[in-house]
Amino acid sequence: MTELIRIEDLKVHFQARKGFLGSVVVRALDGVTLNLERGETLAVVGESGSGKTTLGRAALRLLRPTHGRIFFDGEEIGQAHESRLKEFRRRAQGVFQDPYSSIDPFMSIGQTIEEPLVIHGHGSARERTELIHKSLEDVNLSPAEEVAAKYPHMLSGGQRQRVGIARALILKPDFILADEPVSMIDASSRAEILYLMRDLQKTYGITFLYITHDIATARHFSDRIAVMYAGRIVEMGPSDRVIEEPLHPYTKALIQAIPEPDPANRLRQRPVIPGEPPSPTEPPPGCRFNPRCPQAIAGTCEVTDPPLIEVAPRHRAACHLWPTPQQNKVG
Amino acid sequence: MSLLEVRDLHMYYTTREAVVRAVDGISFNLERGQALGIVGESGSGKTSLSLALMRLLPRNATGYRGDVTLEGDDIAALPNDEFRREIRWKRMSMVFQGAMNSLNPVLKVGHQVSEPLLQDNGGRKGQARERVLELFDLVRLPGEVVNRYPHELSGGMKQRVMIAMSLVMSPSLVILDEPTSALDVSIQAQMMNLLKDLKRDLGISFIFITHDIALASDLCDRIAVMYGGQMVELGASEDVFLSPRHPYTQRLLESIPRLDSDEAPVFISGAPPDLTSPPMGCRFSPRCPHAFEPCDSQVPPAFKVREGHEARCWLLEQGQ
Repeated sequence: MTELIRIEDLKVHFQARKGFLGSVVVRALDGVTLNLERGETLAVVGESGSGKTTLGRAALRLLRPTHGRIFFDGEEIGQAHESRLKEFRRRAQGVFQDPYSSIDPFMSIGQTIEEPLVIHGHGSARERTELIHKSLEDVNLSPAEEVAAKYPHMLSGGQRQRVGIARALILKPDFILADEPVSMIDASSRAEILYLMRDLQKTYGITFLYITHDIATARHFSDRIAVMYAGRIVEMGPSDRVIEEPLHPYTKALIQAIPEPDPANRLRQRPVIPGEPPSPTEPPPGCRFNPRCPQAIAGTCEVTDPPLIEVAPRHRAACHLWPTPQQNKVG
Repeated sequence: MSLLEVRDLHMYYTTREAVVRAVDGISFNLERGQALGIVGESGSGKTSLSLALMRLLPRNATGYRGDVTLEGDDIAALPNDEFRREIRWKRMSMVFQGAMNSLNPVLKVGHQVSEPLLQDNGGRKGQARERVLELFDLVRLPGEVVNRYPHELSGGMKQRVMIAMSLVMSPSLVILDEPTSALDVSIQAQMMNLLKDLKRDLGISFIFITHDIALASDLCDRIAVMYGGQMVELGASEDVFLSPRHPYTQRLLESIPRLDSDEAPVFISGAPPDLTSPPMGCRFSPRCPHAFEPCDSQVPPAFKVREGHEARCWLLEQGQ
């Protein structure tokens, strides 16, 4: 596999007002390095405020990073001027969380899907209609002609999200950012959307960045998982490895926090990590997870910021429990 | 005697064009000290059911009928005014979905929690304050939080305030509508542990409304599965999770992406029924993989699977 996207030491800081005159720096993303291979799905898992959505927005260049570089198919697009991004804007598309607000209610489904083609000056009206129908069929919305004439309020949430995917597909992108694409869809229909994205990936070789708070769907629908905490990646590796042998105490806690459907659950207390994630304006010194970490090493974790290092093949963690790649498993 | 007995409860909504049959004949019992999970997807009627129980009827509600007995008292027969004075909040309270964002931003949270005490006859400020501190201790909030404003609190802390508020008049039943759906999973786990403690230590009974059937297993002794305004399966947690009998419950459980196994999640194709004109027979029949002759024309009654476990499915007629 070859690399499609490489992100190097990406930082996104925002100025936020505080009081009447003061301002503070919000470090939404604070030094993220990762790569995406062509045709793979990388899931970015984290809780609110972890920086996962900011990472996705930066990857689509919906915002300009404060620091760091983003290479897309070898070309630097992180700091590039908007005028140089036209081709990137065709090749990189997004599917977003809310299928109710991300589609214009006054446009028919056909018009919604056609819009990117119009913007990119693609084809004649007849060719565009053909592409729209093809795209609708690709996402299993048929008969395409009928669906194209409908308006968003006539569709269910799952159908709307498929319209969002059809719109993202129509320019034949290489890369799709899917930011919480199923979190507003009913549980029993979620897998349908995720299987659809996987099928499209196989058919068209699309690379996905799947952003989610739900580590369980990440396990089943991604090749690799990156776990984010307070603006950093704390663990990254093949999905089954991360779930079955999590290296970072935060990943372990995240997995333990999710109930499996088991009637015995109610009879026992769930192991939890105390406290809440740190403020992105004043992250704690050292490892950002250390104040909540059950395995924190006094004198080390609150002092030194652990780097993300390879602990097992293709499996990285940023944790002082793993000082060198050679050392055996601790605790 | 059960704490709560509900028989054939109905509540519909009228819209300009049609009638929405949101709660369409619901019956169940809840025993003292137990938690009942009401599980359903969006539009299944689970929130409408809780509003009907609390008799907080939206203006376009219609056809509200059925029997509701709380601790032996027929509360459905009470006039609205008496229900408001004697039942709601005092004997039965509710934490509404997303309510933590409806805290008054310019009042200290301690004051907001104490309000029902001050409203009540003979409520004194000092006593009220003491009670609020007691409640904050119960929900594991530091006492100094009483003097804070909502914007100074995190989501998890605000939700603890809402739970304290629901307990202020010492009700015997608390209805929780998606109390954790706005919280991160690590905070959700803390909240579920707290609810378990309250149930065990205070003997409070809960109705726990959620779209997440796995989460319901973290608190509930019994599970009711709703679909299209009706209860399609009701039973002890052990029965519903380990031997579900309604095809909808079975598929719903199989649709959960599991962390502890490689088994791929399934999905239910199609969409939930339109409650202005639900299917004639079983409401799940258009999506059901097992649908057969009677399903699309005759409404299945609740078949008893075993003591305390029932499901509305024609497959159970001859115990198939």
